[in-house]
Amino acid sequence: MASIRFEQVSKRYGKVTAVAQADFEVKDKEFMVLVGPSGCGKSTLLRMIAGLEDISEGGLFIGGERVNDLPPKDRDIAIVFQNYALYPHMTVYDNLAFGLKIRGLKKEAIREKVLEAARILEIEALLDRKPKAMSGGQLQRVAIGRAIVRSPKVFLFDEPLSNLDAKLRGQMRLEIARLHKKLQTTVVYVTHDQVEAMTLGDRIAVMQQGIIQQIDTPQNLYRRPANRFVAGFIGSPPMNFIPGAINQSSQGFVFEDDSLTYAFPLPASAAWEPHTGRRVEMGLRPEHFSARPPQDGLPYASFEVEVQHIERLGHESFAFAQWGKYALAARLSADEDLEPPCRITLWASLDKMHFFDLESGRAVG
Amino acid sequence: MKIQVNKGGKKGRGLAPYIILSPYLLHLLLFVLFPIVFSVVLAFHKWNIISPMEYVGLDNIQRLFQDRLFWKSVLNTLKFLIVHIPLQIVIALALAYFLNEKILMRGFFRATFFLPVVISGVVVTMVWQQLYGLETGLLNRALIALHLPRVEWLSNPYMAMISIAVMATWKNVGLYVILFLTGLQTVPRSYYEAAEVEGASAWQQFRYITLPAINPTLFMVAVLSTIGGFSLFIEPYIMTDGGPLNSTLSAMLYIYKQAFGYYQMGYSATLGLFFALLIMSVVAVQKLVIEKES
Repeated sequence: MASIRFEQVSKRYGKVTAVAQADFEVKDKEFMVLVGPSGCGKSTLLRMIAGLEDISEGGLFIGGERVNDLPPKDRDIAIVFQNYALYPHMTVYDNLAFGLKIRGLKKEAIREKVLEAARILEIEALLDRKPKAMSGGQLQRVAIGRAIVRSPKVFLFDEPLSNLDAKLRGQMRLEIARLHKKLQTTVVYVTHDQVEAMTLGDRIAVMQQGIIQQIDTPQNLYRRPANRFVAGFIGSPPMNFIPGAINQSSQGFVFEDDSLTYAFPLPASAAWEPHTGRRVEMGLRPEHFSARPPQDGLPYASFEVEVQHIERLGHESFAFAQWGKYALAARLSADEDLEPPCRITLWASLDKMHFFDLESGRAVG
Repeated sequence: MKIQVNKGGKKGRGLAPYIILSPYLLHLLLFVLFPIVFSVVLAFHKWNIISPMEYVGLDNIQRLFQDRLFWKSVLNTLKFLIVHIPLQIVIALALAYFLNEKILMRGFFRATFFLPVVISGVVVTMVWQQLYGLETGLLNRALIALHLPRVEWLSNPYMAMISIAVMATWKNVGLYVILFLTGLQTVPRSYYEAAEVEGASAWQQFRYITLPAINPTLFMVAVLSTIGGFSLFIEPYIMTDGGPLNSTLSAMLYIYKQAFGYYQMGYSATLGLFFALLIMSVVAVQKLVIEKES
């Protein structure tokens, strides 16, 4: 039973603020992913939970207990490092047993726990090997094994899959999800990979420049990004952005692009009122384009584009096109047989459009 | 793609490689190979440089085994090693450990500890001779100021070799600090962090992580300081000339004295060769231990 609560937690290195006023809670048994570009402060946040970094300001609570001044060993946490940090001179067995030995457990008890962890991770056959004689995937399993062997209250993962190749990464992702289901422990998982974040997290905290931009479920982050950064960070290829302004016309509110070439009607809502006349960016995800007009009867917009390049992935294709002076990426079905350069019309539902205030980046509407 | 391999054929190369190598080859020939061969020849002769060489068969070797002073000098050298090597390793490791931490003016301290290594051994010895002085030496003055009895650093036969070993340690420790530092820096930070989370104390981290990780460096330092220690010469030569009562007469100093003090070139060569074999066998044992460990 352990929730983790951040109360206005900041971390400063001299004048640099690595984490600014983090204020959120990781619920008991929750899988929380911290995601963001390098240097956003996500690892610092994780290392503060572990006790490997001091907290400059605010309070950190694990299971209701304030742990700011508690050394790492007394926090009942385990951490999996990016480089695995397995001791090269010890066998897998000794690596797993190390923490238990340090804590003065009896030999038989250690043996039992190590074998149990090895069984869960299917690394029984590796117990006599040294790290040098193992593959990346095996090392990763052992590193996770070392974390679970002590049955800690909280698991911390610091970019655990970045050193693996793509195929293995997918496999280990599944295993970590399975393990979490089985062990029912609170997990905080740091990654810069949005696929890992989306597939693993019960909730995701998106960070940028030391500030948590949004914390929500993967679905909500994708559907309702709180600001332009989150909108651009989640999704691949990233969301298309077109600068313009919200104006009022005789037909109601419209979005007009900067070149005043295009205008799209906005759904009738009083929410646009305060943003009238303000500069905004319209955001549209590549997967919300279609090469055929939608049949669902909802209002849509059309874009006459010049396709310049196509990436064919087999099950789908990405078209990179020019629309006036704007570059657009669009996901198309694999059946579309296009030979760039060519001109086509792309369609998108109006309700898939996002709008962000240009100045603050906040979502509007 | 076809990769062209240079087979190193003689065609087209001519004399160029030999000309380029010639300075080194000349050095090798004159100052390494010739002395070795010549000393083997000398070992079977009696020669005082001026008179012609006289073949004496195995006389020199026979004399070696009966020469009690030579064996004393070997024993002295071993005594020196027993103080010098552990002292050197422990101090170097401790210094390297702290100089690897984020301490104030780390670069300054790293450079300072290395400085004695690059100062001439003669200069160092002369400075330490002043420090060790019986009446006017700084160390004894400090002891007197503290109302403690003064120490006969260099004039007491039991103390002299220890004093020399301490000085040699001061002189050489910087080199081993650098070697240990490079060893320590190859240990990833996350090893310590993982251990810290597991609950290992600073000592346990050192014992279970640092020491095994720097094992190869540890043995390298042991081998280097053994070889260096065996060739102890300058310090007793300048400080004590082997005294008092031959207590600081190192094997190297004795060999030197045979050659250039008594002009016993043949006998000196015999001692030199024998001593070289002794060093080689000690290093061979160390090498075996290293290979077994890793």
